Amino acid sequence: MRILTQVVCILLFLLLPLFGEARADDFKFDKAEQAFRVGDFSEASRIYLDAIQKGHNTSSELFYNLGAAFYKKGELGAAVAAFLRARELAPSDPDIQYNITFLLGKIQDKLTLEIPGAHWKIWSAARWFGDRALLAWATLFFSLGLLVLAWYFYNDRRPFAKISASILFGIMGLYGALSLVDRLYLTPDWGAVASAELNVLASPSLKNGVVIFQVYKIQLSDAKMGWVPSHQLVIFGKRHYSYQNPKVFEDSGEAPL
Amino acid sequence: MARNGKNFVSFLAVLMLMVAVELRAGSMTGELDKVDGTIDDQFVYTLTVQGNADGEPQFPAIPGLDVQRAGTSQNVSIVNNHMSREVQYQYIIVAAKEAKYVIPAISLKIDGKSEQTLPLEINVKAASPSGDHSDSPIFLERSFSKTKVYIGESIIASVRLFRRVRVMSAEPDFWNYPDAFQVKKLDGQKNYRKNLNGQEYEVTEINSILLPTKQGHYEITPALLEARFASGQRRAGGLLDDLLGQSQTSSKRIRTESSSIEVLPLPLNGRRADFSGLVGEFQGRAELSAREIKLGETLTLTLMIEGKGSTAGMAEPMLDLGSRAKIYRDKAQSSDSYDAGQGVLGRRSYKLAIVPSQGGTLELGTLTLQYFNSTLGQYQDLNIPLGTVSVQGGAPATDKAQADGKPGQTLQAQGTASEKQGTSNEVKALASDLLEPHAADRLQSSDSLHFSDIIASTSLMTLSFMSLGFGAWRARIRRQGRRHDVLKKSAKALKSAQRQLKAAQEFLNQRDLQSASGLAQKVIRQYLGDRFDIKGSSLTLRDLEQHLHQRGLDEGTLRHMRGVWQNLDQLLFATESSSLKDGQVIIEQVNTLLQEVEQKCVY
Repeated sequence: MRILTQVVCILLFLLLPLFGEARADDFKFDKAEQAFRVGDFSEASRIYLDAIQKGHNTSSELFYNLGAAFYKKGELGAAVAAFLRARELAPSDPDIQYNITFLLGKIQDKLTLEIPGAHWKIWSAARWFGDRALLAWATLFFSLGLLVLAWYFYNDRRPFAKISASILFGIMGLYGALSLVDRLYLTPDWGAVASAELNVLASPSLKNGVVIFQVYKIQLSDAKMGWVPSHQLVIFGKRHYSYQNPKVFEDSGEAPL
Repeated sequence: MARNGKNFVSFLAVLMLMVAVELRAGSMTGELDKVDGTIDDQFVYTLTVQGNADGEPQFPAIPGLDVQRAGTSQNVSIVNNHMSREVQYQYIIVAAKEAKYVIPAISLKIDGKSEQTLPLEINVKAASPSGDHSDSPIFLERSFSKTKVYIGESIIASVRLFRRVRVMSAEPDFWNYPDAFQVKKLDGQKNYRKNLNGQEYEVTEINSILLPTKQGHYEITPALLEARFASGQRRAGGLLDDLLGQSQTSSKRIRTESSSIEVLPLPLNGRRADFSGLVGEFQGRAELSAREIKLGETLTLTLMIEGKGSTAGMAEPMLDLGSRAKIYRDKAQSSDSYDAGQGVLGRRSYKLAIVPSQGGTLELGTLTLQYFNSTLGQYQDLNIPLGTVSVQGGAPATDKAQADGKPGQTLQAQGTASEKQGTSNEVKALASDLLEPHAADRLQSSDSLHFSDIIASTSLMTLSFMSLGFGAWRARIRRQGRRHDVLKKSAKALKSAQRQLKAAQEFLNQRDLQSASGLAQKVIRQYLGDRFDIKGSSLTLRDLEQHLHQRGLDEGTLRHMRGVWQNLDQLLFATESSSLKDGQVIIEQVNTLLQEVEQKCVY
């Protein structure tokens, strides 16, 4: 019994990270904040981008601030892309949603932020919870289901209640797990257009020509698809990253999207 | 003699074996696809290792040469039960400058023995001079619309790829400009054909706009392109290659010449404090959404400035209507494009929402923008008449603070993006700014999955499965314990019953038939009660049958029990007509019944 208690304590200790906040290394974020305050948005965005490229690309707050810096610089497309990534990491953050709504109000092309044909996704928990929350949800409910079932085996009194509870917890855990799989593998990366005009190619190659830039296949919310040069897109996604700082003209204003 | 002969044959066999082992020892060779080339060429070094190598070969670092590992191929062949293995390592070598380079010997331990390649020499010459592309199936050219410009004056940089071969892949590096230049890549690329020196080329042209921001003399490094193309020569291969028409592919780094651009400062003479920042030749116009409005309504003034040159660096034009009207500004929209005939064409538009504060005629005046005409080399004014608006209605402004607006003050819109009562659609878009960025300490958190999260989740699931396993084990032990308890109980019940039957036999020996019968009946009741947990010493036969039937006892055994019970009743209540022999028989019947129940109900 004593050994069992010790084992349980060790395992519970291992569970602690799931409930805590993962901390990124201390970066120069206070310098970026200072640069933002004095109006040096280029420096602020440079620091944030540096952090992202060095692997600190898992913080919704980081992308939130990056989006604000881009907006102040006049890079509206990049700002939208950064806020979209922030929203993906923290879907229920009201500040992010407000800023996205604000920026979408400035977009000329009225496209929605929903994937065409994926109506079932309105039921996905990924709409409200981030990756860690979904993993915690799935793990906790699966574990509860297993523990209740174990309790039933240990003490077979009230079998109906225990088995029912176990099945219920299992279903809720499965819901969380499926939402997490949807978020990680089925949801595409969102991005935004970073140029005033976009030439969409029907295929990644040209007739009698050679396409000498990297292209991405994109889909708009009106289901139109095509290939677009990477330098015209800004994507801060799970699998794709595309941002080029072509020394954008100062105060160029937002290019109409 | 025979013994010497045998020794000699043995010695020969050993010698042959050693030679055979020697023949099968590994080897290593290195070769280059060419030894002479230019700095635009790529050299391919192939290292062939035959035998079992101890690890992988290490290509030595050679100053001035950039070496990239291209790939590895392996070939295993079995001939006459002998297996040989050959591994080829390919390296792509590019020289940074013209010189003679020596690739030193590469060492490797193969089959236990140290092997070495021979050193090889590469002779790298300068790239072909500009204009001399007659021998090249593929080359790159770059040109600038101007090489002497003012700060803020835009330049078109065109890079053209000429080719007579099919290009499989290309990695461009066209936009490596000094920090003093802002670069905007123009969308799309042009494709056309051109005849040069009697040869037809396919041309791909990519344009960019450069905007110099600092004065100075700048050297522009060459534009580079790493291209892989079909060289048109058939590969000297086997039958399949001939059938499939495989041609050889070549990889080449192609570059343009270096260039230089002189950026001149804008003259101070004649420049006003309100200089707009525009450099080029521009025109402007203004449009009003309405010429007559009522007091309190909003009209939109759209300013458009366009012309030759980029509008990116333009300062915000200031419009001052004093207390006569409030002005709300939207963010400017601009776009730059390229026209082959006219160069860079810039366009910038501003939308201002104007809300008159007083009735009557509102003269908006003329907006004057100073710009620098790079063609003439002097500053000029762009005058845009804004027009006049007739404002109807005499109701004064309700807010005193609004009516007493300071002269020259332009107000920013306050409010949310939603439409306010009384304001028109043009104002609703002028929302407050984005929410403030978050504090730096909040940026330290992480929102996506980490390895520690996976570990924690796995640990919790493992713990849960372990608990499930423990519970299942406990359930099994419990079942086994129950079974053990039942068996123990039944053995105890049987022993007790047999002891009591012995007591009944004693009664019989004492010729007390009634006591013996009563005890025998009690034995049955007690045994069945203990065995099957049937409580109640006053249970009748019917009760017993019912209970035992519920516990799965078969009909045959129940019938047997009924028969024994009835015999016992007869002995009990009709003792006079029964004999001791009957008593003996009944005791044996009871014993048989107990054995039968014991056998049929093992658990």
